[in-house]
Amino acid sequence: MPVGDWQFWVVTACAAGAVVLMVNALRRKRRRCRPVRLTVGGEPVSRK
Amino acid sequence: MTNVRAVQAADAPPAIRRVAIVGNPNVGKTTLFNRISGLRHKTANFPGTTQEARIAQVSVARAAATDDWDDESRTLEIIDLPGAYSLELDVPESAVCRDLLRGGSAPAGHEARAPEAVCVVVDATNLARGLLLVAEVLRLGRPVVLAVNMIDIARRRGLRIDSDGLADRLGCEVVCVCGRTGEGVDRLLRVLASPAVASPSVVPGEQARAWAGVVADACTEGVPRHDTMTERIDRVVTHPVWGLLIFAVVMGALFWTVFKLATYPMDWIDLAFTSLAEGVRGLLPPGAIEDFLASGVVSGVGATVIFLPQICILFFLISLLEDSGYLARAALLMDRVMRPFGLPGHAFVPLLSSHACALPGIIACRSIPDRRERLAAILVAPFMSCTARIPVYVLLTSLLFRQSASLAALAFAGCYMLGMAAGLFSAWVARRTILRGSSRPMAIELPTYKLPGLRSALLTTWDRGLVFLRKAGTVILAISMILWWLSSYPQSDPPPAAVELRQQALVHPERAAELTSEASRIEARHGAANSFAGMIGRGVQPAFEPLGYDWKLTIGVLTSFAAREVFVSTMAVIVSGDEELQGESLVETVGAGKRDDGRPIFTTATSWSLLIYYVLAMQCLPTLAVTARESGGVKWAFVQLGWMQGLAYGCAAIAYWSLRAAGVA
Repeated sequence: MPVGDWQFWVVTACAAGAVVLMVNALRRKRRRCRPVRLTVGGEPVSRK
Repeated sequence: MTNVRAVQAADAPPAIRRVAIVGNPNVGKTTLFNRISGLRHKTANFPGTTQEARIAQVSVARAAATDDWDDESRTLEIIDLPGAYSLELDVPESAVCRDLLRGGSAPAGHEARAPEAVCVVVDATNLARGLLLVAEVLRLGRPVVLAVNMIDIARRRGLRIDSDGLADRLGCEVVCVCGRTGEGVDRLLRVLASPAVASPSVVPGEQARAWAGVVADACTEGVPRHDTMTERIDRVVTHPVWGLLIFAVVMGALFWTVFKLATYPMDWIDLAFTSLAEGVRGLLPPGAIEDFLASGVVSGVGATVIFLPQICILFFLISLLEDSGYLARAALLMDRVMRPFGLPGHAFVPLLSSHACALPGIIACRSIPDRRERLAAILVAPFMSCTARIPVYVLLTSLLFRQSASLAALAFAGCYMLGMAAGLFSAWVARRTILRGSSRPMAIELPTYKLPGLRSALLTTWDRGLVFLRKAGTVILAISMILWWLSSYPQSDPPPAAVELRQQALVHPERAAELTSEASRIEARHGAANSFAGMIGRGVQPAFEPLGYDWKLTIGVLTSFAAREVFVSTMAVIVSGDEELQGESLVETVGAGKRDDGRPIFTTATSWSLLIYYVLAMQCLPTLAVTARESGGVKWAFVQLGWMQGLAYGCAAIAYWSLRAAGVA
């Protein structure tokens, strides 16, 4: 690994940032799925 | 007006008034909801488009002259419910409406309470049928406001609705509106902000049908002009033979148009990104940052954004077809086709929605009344080619038929056909093994043909385009950056062959350019093969060896589990190390990629094998999660995953080895 090259550290930081961005995007997607789900008598509609 | 009193006089209303919108399917509830809320939820001229409740808050300012309330403004929480023919049927959409109107349920995160007002939407051209539901809602004793929608179409047909007479007979406020143009919507909002309670004694339960007919006749003036145009068109498009032929022609024309029209903007986008990558290389000194920006960021994102025109054109045309009313006829035709495979015609809409994305398609399966049929439809929905597959289809069909756009379009449409055929076959297998049971006959209301709304089609296109670009700017950008890093490090020493070529270049200056270029190619291939991506790809590659994939294609397939379209950007990033290809178009760059032994990555046999694999494979984790939720068990998600992967692997291997045996390399 070219640890003496400063450019290596810049691109590595960008790639690490990309990993964080992707994890956050996936977590946000999971949270957004929930809100407007209806139940009937406490049971999901699909099970009726 | 009789039997009406203001609700706020009786009990103190909550700060935010809840209003539920109910009505028969396809009377324009969501169009009205979108108009009121300023939102852009999907609407279509098709029964059952809405499958989940939607909520929006709107603020209604007081108009001193007309409103009998004191606040400066009132906030309404409006809930758009799925269409239901009755509140008393044993189907999910009726149960959802019934429970919410009685205060038994509420969307997650909201207090469960009965709405302060119910807005019943009816079709002005079919008042009698809508009044049956009005009768049921009135019996609940909640404040009701009747919105007589599509008043513009009624007028065109020579009908006039006597809204005052209707209000007197029902004992509730009646407002004539047009959700499409916005006519009457302001008045409807003011009435909803201060609803009135109707007398519950107005409607006799057991004689509701006769009552609805009498009221509708009394309150509708004018002789309706018979819609002979719809009948004449239907005689042809729902014909058992001509109908299917027209369906095939319409679908063929749709895909051909998508392919042909998109060529020009795709070329412009490709040129823009290629120039941008070259500009970055020219601007920055050679090094890791220059290569990261040019090959990782610009090439990676550009490889996906290039497919934006096709996605936009496809959604625009499908939206026009939906809005015209043709797709309901297509569902009727498809019932005859799907029934022998154990799927009802009700499954057509969910399966069609799955061509945009499997997630709404699987959710739309709630409209299928029979549990076994519903489960079968859920299991096969991901076989329908979603938009995430489009970039992969376009790339591979373009590589297979570089000289002929027509053949490429045919292969592109063939991918959709193969997905549908696999879905029908899988449903047939499921209904004869794990989901045995009888089928219910299908009943569907055929809406009137109408001129498709350009605004609605453009909004749908705009929304889908934005979703695609957002994905390209986040997940795909992130994956491209990570992949560039994985395929660039650790750096390895140049192989002896490359060193020797460079030494020869010094000795033979007249051939220096050619020798240096060859040395660079060898170094790039050697570096990629020994990178982290190369190590991972080579570790998993034996599993994909029977399909003809090398480690680079294996990496492409593996990254597709994050998002299918990432395959294209992955290949663009992985093959971009080859200096000879820089400056070429995306298809040329990816198509000219070489394996470690110098053979092309995309042979005819490999391209067909890949195409079939991408049509049939389950590569979407969110889809599995929704399948588990909607089917009521994780086991169905595993059944779906196992079956689809097995089928994809088997069919791709058969295609690869058959083509090789036939001498197609």
